[in-house]
Amino acid sequence: MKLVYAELLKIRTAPWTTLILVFALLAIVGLGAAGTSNDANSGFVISPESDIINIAGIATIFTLILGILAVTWDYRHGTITQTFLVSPRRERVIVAKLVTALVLAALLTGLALALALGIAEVWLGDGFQLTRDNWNHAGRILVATLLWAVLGLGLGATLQTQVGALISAIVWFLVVEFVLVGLGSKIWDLDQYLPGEALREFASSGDQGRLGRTTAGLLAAAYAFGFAALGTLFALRRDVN
Amino acid sequence: MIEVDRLTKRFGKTVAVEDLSFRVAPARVTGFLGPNGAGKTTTLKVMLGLTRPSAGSAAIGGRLYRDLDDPIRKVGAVLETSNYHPGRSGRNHLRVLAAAAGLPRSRVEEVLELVAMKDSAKRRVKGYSLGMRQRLGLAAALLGDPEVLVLDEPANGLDPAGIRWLRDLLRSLADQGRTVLVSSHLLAEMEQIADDVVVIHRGKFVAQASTAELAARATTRVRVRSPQSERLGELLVGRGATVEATDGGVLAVREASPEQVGEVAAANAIVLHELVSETATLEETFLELTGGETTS
Repeated sequence: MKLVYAELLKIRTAPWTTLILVFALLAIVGLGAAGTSNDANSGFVISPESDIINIAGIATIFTLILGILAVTWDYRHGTITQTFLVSPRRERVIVAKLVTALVLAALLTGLALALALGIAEVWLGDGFQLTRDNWNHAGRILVATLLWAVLGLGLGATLQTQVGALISAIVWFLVVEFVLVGLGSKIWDLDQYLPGEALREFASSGDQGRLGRTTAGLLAAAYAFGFAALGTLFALRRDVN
Repeated sequence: MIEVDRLTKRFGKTVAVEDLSFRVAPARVTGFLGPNGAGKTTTLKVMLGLTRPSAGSAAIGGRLYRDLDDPIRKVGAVLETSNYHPGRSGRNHLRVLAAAAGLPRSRVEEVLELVAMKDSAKRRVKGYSLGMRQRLGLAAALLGDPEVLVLDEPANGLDPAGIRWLRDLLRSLADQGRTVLVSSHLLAEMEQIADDVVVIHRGKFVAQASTAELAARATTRVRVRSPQSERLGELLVGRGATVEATDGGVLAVREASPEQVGEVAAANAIVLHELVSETATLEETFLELTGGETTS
C-alpha cells in the first residue's frame, strides 16, 4: 500500500502528468468517435448504443502505453536504483506499479465511457437506451483495457527501455500483427490466436467471432499475465545499472 | 558493521571484482579507494542488493540487504547511478521516497535542513548543480536515520567549502556510532575525511589501514642533486640503494638515509648541490599501491 501511494505520488509530482492524462482521455473519445463513425459509414452499425460504447475500445492502446510507462519511466530516469533501495523485494515494487497502472487504466476507461455515454445521452435524449448487452460490452472493454495495461507493464519490465518497449508495442500491433493477420488467415486461421486479434474479439460487440468470446478473453489474459510474469522475472534477476 | 566476504563479480568475461574481502567498522569513517574502474561501485551495488554477486557475499550487520526488514532505516545509500526525475522538485523527490518507506513528511523537512537545502527544495532538479544533487542524494540517504551509510563518490562536484561541510557531517555521523563507508578515486579527499581506508585495484584487495598508518607507511626517500649524479648513483646502487635518475642531475634515492648519501659523496669527493629527505605523500603511496596508475 505504501508503495502504491509512492507510485501515485511519483506520477502526481512529475510535471504535466495530469494534463497528459486529460489529453489522453480526450484523445480516446475523439479518436474512438472518429473510428466508430468510419466503421458506421462502411455499414458496421449494430446499434447507436453499442457504437457509442465502442468509442472506448481505443483506450486499450492508451492503457498499453500507460502500463509500459509505469515501469520504464523509473528505469529511464535512473530512479529505479532508489526505488529498489527502499524496497529491495523487487516483486513488491512490480505489484505496486501494476496496481497503480490498473487504477489509472480503470479511471481512464471509466471516464472515457462516461464521457461518451454522457454526450450521447444529451444528444439522443430518450432514444438512447442501454440494454444489459450494452453494459456487458462496456464491462468487456474495461477488462480489455486493464489486460492491456498488464501486458504493457510486462513488456516494459521485460525490455526495461522506454523507447524500446514503446516501439516494440507499436511495431507489433500496427505492423507485425497486421501482416500476420493477412498470412495467418490463410494458414489454419492462426491469426485469431494473435494477442491483438484475441483482444479485439473479446471486446467486440455483436455476433461472436471464430474463437468465442470467453476463449478469446482467456487467451488475451494469458498473453497479458504471461508477459507480466516474464517481466517480473527479468526485473528480479537483472542487475540494476 | 559491513562485511565483504570473498566477493567476486563477473560481467561476461570481464572480472569487475575478484575475491574481495574486507570489513568496515562502526563509529568510523572508512574510505573505499581505488582508481576509476577498480570495482568500487560494483562492490557497493552488491552490498545494496542491486547487483547479484558471481560468488561470495557482502553483508550489513550480518544480513544481506534484501533480507533487511526495513532497509531504509538501517542503511542509507547514495550511488553514482542514483538519479532524479529532472522535472520533479528536490522536496517531492524526497517525499516519494519517504512515502515508499512509510516515513512521515516532517522527516523530509528535517533532512532538507540537515543538508542545507531548504531554500532550493522547491526547485526542479534539472536546475540543480552537481553539488546540490550530491546534497539531495545525501538527504535521501539520511531519510531513515540509518545506522549504516554507504556513499559512492559523495565529494564529486563539491567545492572546497562543500567538502569541508561533508567532512564535518560524516565526522558527526561516525561520532554518533554509525558505520560510514565512502568511496572515492581521490586519495587527497579521503585524507581529510576518512579514519580508515580500504584500497582496491582492478577488482582486487590492495590494502586496509588507518589513514595514519598509511601515512606512516609512506616511504621516505632522499632527493640529491649533484653535477656528478651518474657516478654518485652508481656508488649508491653498489651499496644496495635504489636510485632513480631524473633530469638536471637529480636522483631519488630509496633505502638509504641522507646521512649515508652524504657520507658516500664525501668519501668519493663528489660535490653535492642539494640533499633533502622527502616523505612521500599519501597520494604517492596510493599510486605506488595501485601500481602507479593515475587516479583520475
